[in-house]
Formats: sequence, C-alpha cells, structure tokens
Amino acid sequence: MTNQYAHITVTIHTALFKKLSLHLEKLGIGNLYAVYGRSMLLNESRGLTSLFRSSDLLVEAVEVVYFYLPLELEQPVMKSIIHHCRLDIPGRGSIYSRHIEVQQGQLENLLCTLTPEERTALLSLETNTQSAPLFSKLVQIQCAMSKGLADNVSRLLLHIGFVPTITNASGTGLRDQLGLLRITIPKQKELLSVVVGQHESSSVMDKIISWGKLDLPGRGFIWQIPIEKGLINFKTYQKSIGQAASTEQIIAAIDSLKGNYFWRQGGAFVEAQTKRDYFKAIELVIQVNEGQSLPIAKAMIKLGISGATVQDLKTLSLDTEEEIVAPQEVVRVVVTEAQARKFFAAVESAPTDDNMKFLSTVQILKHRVIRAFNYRRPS
Amino acid sequence: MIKWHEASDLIWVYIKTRVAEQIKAVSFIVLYLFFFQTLVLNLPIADFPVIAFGIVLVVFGLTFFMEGLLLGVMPIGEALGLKLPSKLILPGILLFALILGLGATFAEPAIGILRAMGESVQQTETPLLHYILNHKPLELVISVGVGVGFAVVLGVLRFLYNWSLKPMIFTLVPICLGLSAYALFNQNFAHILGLAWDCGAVTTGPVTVPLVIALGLGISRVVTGHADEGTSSGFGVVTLASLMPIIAVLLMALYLNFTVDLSQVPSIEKSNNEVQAQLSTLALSMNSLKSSLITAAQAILPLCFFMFIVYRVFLREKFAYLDEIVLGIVFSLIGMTLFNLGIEMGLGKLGKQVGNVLPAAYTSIKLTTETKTLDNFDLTTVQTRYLGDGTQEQFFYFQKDKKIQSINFQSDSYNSAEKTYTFTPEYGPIWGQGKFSISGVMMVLLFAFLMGYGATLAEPALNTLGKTVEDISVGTFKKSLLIQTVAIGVGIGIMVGVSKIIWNIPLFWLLTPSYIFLIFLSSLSTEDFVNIAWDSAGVTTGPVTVPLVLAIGLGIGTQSGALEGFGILAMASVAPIMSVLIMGLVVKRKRHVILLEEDLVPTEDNA
Repeated sequence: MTNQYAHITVTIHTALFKKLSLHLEKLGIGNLYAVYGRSMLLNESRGLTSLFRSSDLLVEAVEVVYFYLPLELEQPVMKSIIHHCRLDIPGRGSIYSRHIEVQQGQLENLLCTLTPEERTALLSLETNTQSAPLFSKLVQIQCAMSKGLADNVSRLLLHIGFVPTITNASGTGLRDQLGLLRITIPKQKELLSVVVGQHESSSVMDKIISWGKLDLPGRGFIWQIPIEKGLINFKTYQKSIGQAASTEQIIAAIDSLKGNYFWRQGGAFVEAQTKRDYFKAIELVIQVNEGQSLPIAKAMIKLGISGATVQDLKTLSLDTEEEIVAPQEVVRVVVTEAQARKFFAAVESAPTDDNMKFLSTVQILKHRVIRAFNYRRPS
Repeated sequence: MIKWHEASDLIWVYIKTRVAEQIKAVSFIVLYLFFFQTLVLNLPIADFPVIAFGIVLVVFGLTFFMEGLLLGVMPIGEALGLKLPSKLILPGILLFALILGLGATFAEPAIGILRAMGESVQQTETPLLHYILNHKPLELVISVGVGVGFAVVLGVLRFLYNWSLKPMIFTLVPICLGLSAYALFNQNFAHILGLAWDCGAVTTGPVTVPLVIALGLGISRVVTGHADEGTSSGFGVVTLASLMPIIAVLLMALYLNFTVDLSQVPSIEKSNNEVQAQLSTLALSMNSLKSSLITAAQAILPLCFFMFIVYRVFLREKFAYLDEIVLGIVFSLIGMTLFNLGIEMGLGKLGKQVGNVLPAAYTSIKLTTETKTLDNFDLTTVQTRYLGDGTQEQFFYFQKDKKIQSINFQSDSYNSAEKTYTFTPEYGPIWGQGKFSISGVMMVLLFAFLMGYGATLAEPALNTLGKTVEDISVGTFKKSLLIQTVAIGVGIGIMVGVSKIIWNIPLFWLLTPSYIFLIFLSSLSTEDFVNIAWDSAGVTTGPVTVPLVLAIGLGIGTQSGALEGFGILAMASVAPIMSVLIMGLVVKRKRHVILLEEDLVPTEDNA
C-alpha cells in the first residue's frame, strides 16, 4: 500500500525566513528541515565603483526549507505561502514541489503530524487567499561539483535568466578508499540547484555540463528531476529601478495573465549541439541521524555505488517542546536502475547480515531522474 | 588502490596549495617590515640569514598548524558539542565548560609574556600593578582562568537555550567600564586598567578559539533550531572570554587595593637592564627546539587530551576518523613548534629591530646594538667646539663606511686604565623633532597602522574563524572580506594604542567612548554580525600580533617615558569590532535595497 506525498521546497531570502517559519507554525506544519545556502544576482556596476569591485556577483544568503505533506494539501499550502511571503514578487524566493510515493508506515517521523481540524483548516485556505499562479511542467537540475566551481556556472546561468541556489555538501567515494591519504582530497562539494521549464531543461543541462567541464573526470555529476508545481524566482539582475515596475515584475505579471511562462524564450532555448551520453537513473534520498551517513556511504561503495553526497540538516521542529533534537543528515546518490535493484536487495537481506544490519532501519526515498550525466557512465 | 605516482601527485598538490596560502598570509608583514627598516629608517637588517630562516619556519609552522586545527582540533570540538547535550546532564556539561575554560588559560603562553612585560613597572610609581605582577602572579592567572571558565559556561548555556549575545554584551561591557571608572578616583588603580584589558585580549589564543568555536557549532546543531538565529550559531564564546577576565582581574585588583597596605610590601626593585635581560631569556626560552616543542605541547595536548577523554570515557562515543584526528593533533604540534621558533628567530626579531629604532622617526635614539669600544683611544683627537649659546662641547670624529660623524666626548665613558672609549651612536630624528612634530609622529602612526594590518592577515585563529564563517554561511560571508575588515580595524586600533603611549593618554578615556559607540552599533546590528564582530576582536590578538605589538610598545614606551606600555592590545581589540559592525550595517543596507520593501529587513517589531 503506497501513499502519494508532496515534498515541498521553499528557497527563501534569509531576511524572510522568520516570516516563513512563523507562518508555517501558524498553519500547524511542524517538521521542517533547512539547509543554509546562497543565491546570486548579477550586480550593476557603474562608474568608479566598478573599478573596485572584485566580482560582478552579488551573493545573497538563502534558506532552503523543505517538508512533506499529504498530496491534497499541496496546493493550498503552497498558495498560502506564496501569498503570505509575497513570493510572486521577483527576488524573494522560490517554491516548488515533487511528488513521492511512500510505503505505508514509512517516513512517519519526517511527515508533519496534523490533527483533522488542522487538515480541514489547511484545505479551506485556498478559498481564502487570492489566487497566485503555480506553474507546472518544471524540471529541477541538480549538480554536485567540486568546491569553487559553482560560482562560475552560476554567473553564466544568471546571464541566460536562471537563478541558481548553492548549498554545501560533503562527498564520499574514492576519498574513503585511500586511508589517511584521503586528507589530500577535499571533502567539500557544492550542490547547485536550478529549476527550469521542461522545454528548456535539456539545453540548460547541456550548457551546465560544458561550462562546468563536467565531461572531465573528478569535476561533478548532474541530474534532472521532474517538478510538479512551482513558482520560480527569476530575478537575475540587481539594479536601481527607473520605472514604475521592474522588468521582472512586468514579466511576472504577463506570466500570471497567460498562466504559463512558455512565451519567455530566452537564450537558453536553443537545442543542444552536442550529443551527450545521458542515462536514466533513480535518485535515492536517505535521511538519517547524525553519524549514520558514513556507514551507509561505505556500504554503498561495497556494492559498487560511489558518489554519494552528504548534507547536514538543521531540524526545525516547531511543534515539539524538546530543546535537544538529534541532528539529521541526508545522503543523496544517483544510481542506475540495476544499481538500485542491487541496493534494495542488500537492504532486504540486511537483517541477516551483521555488517549491513543498520540498513534495515533507514528509510529510503526514491525520485525518478529524467536524465543524469557523469564523465563516465556507471556500469 | 592508487599507484605511487598518483599518490605523490595528490600529496604535492595538497602541500603546494596550503603552503602558498600561508606565504600569501605572511608576505605582507614580512615585506613591509623589511622595507620599512631598510628604505624608510635607512638601517641595515642585523642577522639577516637567521631572520630569513625564521620566516621560512613561520610559513611551514602556520601551514602545519592550520591543517592540524582543521583535521584534529576542530573535529574533536565539534564531535563533543554534538554529543554533550544529549548524553550528559546540565551540571555535567557546565562543569566540563568550566574546566575547559580554566585549562585553556593555563595553556595560553601569551599570559606569561604579559606577566614578564609587567615586571618593568616601577614600584614607586605604580605600587598596585607592581604588587600584583610580582607578588600575586598566580592569583592573576587564576582570576583570568576563572573569568574564562565562567565565560565558557555562559557561552554553552547560551547555545543550549538560544540566548541572544546582545543583552550579555550590554550588561558585561558597562560592568567593565564601571569598574574601570573607579580608576578616575584612584591613581593607583588606573595603572591596572591596561593590564586588565590586555588580559582580556590575550586569553583567547590560537588553540582555544578554534576549539571553542567548533564546540559551539556542534552544540547548536543539536539544539532545536529557532527561526532567527541565522549564521551566528556557534559564535560568541570568544567575546565572553574576552570580557569576563577583565572583570575578574579588575575585581581582584579592587580587592587587593582595599585589603593590602602597599607601603608595607617589600620591594623587588629591578633595574631596567635586568628586566630587559629577563624578557630576552623568556624570549630565548623559545629559541631552542626543545623548549619550543614543550610550549606547543603545553598549549595543545592537555586540552585535546581532556576533550578526548571526556568523549571516549564519559560519553562512550567513537570518532569516525580517529586516524585523521591523531594526525591533525600531531600536525598542530609540529606547526606550533616551528611557528614559535620562527616567530622568535624571524618575525619577532625583525619586529623588535624595527620597534627599537622606530622612535627615531620623531626623536633621537641611541642605537644600543651598534655600541662601539675604541681601543687605544688617543685623547689628543678630542676637540672642542662652541655651541650657539656660548657653551663648549668636546667631540671627536668617527668614520664608518665612508660616513664621517662627530661624536660627543664624555669623560666618564673613557677608561683611563685600559685606554678604551665606549660610545653608542645616536640616530634620528628622521622627520621633525619631539613627540608633537607632525611628520615624525604621523610616520610612526602610519607604521603602526600598516603593521597591525599586516600582522592580522597572518593571524592563524582569525584565518580559522574566517574559514568557519565562510563555510557555515555557504560563501555568503566571504573569509577575505572578514579578514580585510578586521585587519583594517586592528591597524586603526594599534595606531590609537601607540598614540596613547606617545602622548600618555589615560586608557579610560579611549576605552569608554569606544565601547559606548560599540554598544550603540551593536543595538543596530543583526545578531549574526554582533556575534562575528565581537568574536573577531578576541581572535585578532594572537601569536603574530602580540610579540610585534609588544616590541613597538616597549620601544616607544622606553623613549617617551611611559610608566607602563599596556593598552595597545586593548585598543587593537576594540577597533575591529567597530569595523566589522560597520561593514555589517553596510551589507544590511544593501540587502534592504535588494528586497525593496520596508518590512523585509528583520526587526523586532514586525516579527
């Protein structure tokens, strides 16, 4: 028996984070997980100031917050967040959701616990709030790359109209097989995420691969995940406004009038020139208590699955009184279907295998990956 | 497994990038001191090969030390912070914090230097300061230790309950200033101020700071997140550890001031030469590899061992990468040993040379290193000249390197038995005469600014703080921005501190307005900037800055007849807080512009 859930991600400017979390608390949505990240804007430099500015990027602090909700609450809650935090104004943040299938009984500690009254209150939200546009046919491109590579890719993405979000992660893989020599390979990775329209996704992905030189060994890994609904921030340029409304505001208004964004066909909408060796894959997301990610990554390497990234999460349990919570980590790995079968077989036989026993207690989320790319296709 | 040549490639890149980073960090201060001595003061550098070798040691020392902090010391701190709150009851945690703070103080080598410095003070002029430094040195260190201990306790409580740092600053700073204000009514007490405020600046050393910050980061990850904390989590202990020792030392001095009859205290009068000798033996103790290793081991091993035992025995946890941690501790030990040695042989020596002759910019000084003894001195070469006011003066000519100088003849320097004459050549003033001449003093102040700036760039604890801030803010708060801002602040602070010594300005009148302004700035700033700004103040006065500053302080203090050379470090702590807070306000304004809406800037009322 499986249930459908919505995995909702809100990327929001830190200055608005308090507003968001208070709103979610009011709605009764308790279990929040957050990662601190950065977003960027191209900076307008004029006159003398441009001489002294070392970078044309203006870095902004953002919080990437996510939570899980039953599917029927997805739309009202998202709209209410958009309305309350005014995400329809460009430059404030993005919100999007993916759908996941969850086995009965799984994920219970991650899901928000809602009383029936809270549930009906949430369902009635939609009628109370103004209609905010939510678009479909979106794709999230995620890219795990070595530290320091993300800024350049971000700059180029901004130039073609997309706003990336970057979070920190640590990589596992080759590093852990080297013994003490591992200290010579930096652990830090950057996870770049950008949400684009389905029609331009392959072209954007191709561009990121060539900008980040991901076709060379040891540079990074990229994959695409379908997004069900979302409202995406596209403010890429910081400048003083000379008119009554900024260009972004005008675009947003046209978007909501038309009910879609397909009319926007910027520089990205050019078919990819090169033929890449993409492969179909599955993204496994495993959220565990602090310290457990390392044995999981090691177990994966034993099964021939390398390249897992680990991210520290901030737990914001707004509805508990407890002061101390177990810190969480999330392991992400993109695998082929064959590898996934192998992994799940190992998980199933875990209770009988002493070395793998801990695997039987973890909960694994599967996301369908449209296409993935690595310099070497996994066997 | 990977092949040997691949492994050597990896190791080569690893070493290369890290050494390059440290060369970048120290190059400014080294080149600056070098050119100032040779081109501006126009004097040769004595012992050049030794100094050059010392600087190489500093570079490698810093490389090892920084890597050791990141691999060994900080992971221990963070691992402990993660496990402590859930595994130990509150009194246990607080006891741990108290012991950590006390231990950290005893391990701090800079405290010893401060004590030795203070022995140059005259009993007749400053009896209380003299009494504390010479009769109660243990009590001094203990009160500093208790201050730091309570600071760590308070800091940990703060992490556990998500208290804001602002109210603590707003209470502790007025207490410090209030106690200091007593100095206005008691001349004797006034001389304690410099010592007390410098103690606060000195206690937070290069091992303690990273350890405590890592501990804080660990604890704040476990504690339920609150919406408004932002990037500040993990910081703030350093601030408390800088403020509370000030209070502790002032209270102790106050107590002694009322209970001890200072006129009855036996005098331990030391001549200035003796003190100089003692200072140099203290410095010399760093000079041999063995004693340098012992100092480093004292600073690193007990603390790490203590935390290790707590983690393994009391919390019964295992380290994920034990080999890495052990390697890290070994690295930091090697690093600190080389670094101490290098500072003494290279950077410190160069600093001392420049510091000693620096007052030549505005006054004439004796070059004691150039003291000459002429054998078979022929008295017939002595001539007489008339001065402008009609008096006579005896002199003789002396030539060195094609430069002819006339040296005043003093009959008591002539040893008639051995027929030798001893003299010390004088040098300066290079720009203008006296301490109110604009060009000369400007030169000294400019020097002080650039030296403070350069030394700060090389400060290891600040580099770790910057790296941590950049990491946890995911690059929104750049390390280079923080370091540059702090370095400019320190430069200004040292400049003000040096002018305090040149003109004998009472420290109270410098500290009070600065701190009142700081409280005002802090109340305007966001929590994360308040934390980072106040913490970077404690971090800046580390092993690179302190010896250089003391060298200058001593040089100028001796020339201008200041009673005590304290206070520069205290000023070097205040100014960077100001610069970081101001930078924070500028950044905040920028954010405000970006969001283009009044209600977006977080304030208390629209929450």
